[in-house]
Amino acid sequence: MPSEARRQASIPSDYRQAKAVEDAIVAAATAHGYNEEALFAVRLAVEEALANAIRHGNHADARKRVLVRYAVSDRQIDVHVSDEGKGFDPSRVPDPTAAENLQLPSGRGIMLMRAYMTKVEFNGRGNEVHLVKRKLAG
Amino acid sequence: MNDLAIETSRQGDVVIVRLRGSADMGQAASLDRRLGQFLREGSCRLVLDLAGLAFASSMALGAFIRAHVQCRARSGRLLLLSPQPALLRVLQTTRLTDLFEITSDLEEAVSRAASGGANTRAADGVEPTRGRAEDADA
Repeated sequence: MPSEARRQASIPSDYRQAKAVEDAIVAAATAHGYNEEALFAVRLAVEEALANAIRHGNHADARKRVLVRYAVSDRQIDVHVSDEGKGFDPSRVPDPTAAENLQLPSGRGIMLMRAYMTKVEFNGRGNEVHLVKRKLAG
Repeated sequence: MNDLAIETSRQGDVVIVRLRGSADMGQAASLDRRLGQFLREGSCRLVLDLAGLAFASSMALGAFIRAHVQCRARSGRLLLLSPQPALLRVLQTTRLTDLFEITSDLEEAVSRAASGGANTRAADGVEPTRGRAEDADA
């Protein structure tokens, strides 16, 4: 098993470059023996965090940066994603599973992160999210 | 993971849109445009064949939802066909199984799309038929 992968990337608000970082995280997780279910979960949660940072945090302004720090070990995956936005209060995001919100085309990113990761935490300002995925034993 | 490939075929008035690869944040905009194009061309009886779609972010789900809402507004009907288990779980987690009609049978999907109109799900105040999603999970 490889030693812990620890990286940091500062990218412009660009989906293609964000995807490259996402691919690198999934590749590191693959190398550390995470199963298909965990890999899907990490890809989905990281994708949602990066998309939120670009779209809602930086308003797709390519001059603004998204900072990604991640560490992948045999025990868990940690990913921090931050943007240059004003931040937000995650507790005020409407429940996308409520019947009246089902037809809204957006607003599912945070709930997907929470559903698929072991832990999801925002900083006080709301412009950085910390995602944790622990490897299941066995 | 592969890029997104979009292929279409037609059975009568029904357009079958086969999605293969990954509908991630970099692909969602083009997916949204393609689905919007079908609707502008008057094709509002759609079957989205998801059997080859390995990944879909919330932005891609948003494109499905926009197309679904626009189809209904034009008395059309949109169905999802054969989502892979991982994607079906995303649809269940987000409760979009209450919004979309999902089946694993192409003939049934085409027949229901062709009948148009009565696309009634939970968002319309009608109890969803969860069995469809469970069929696709088998």
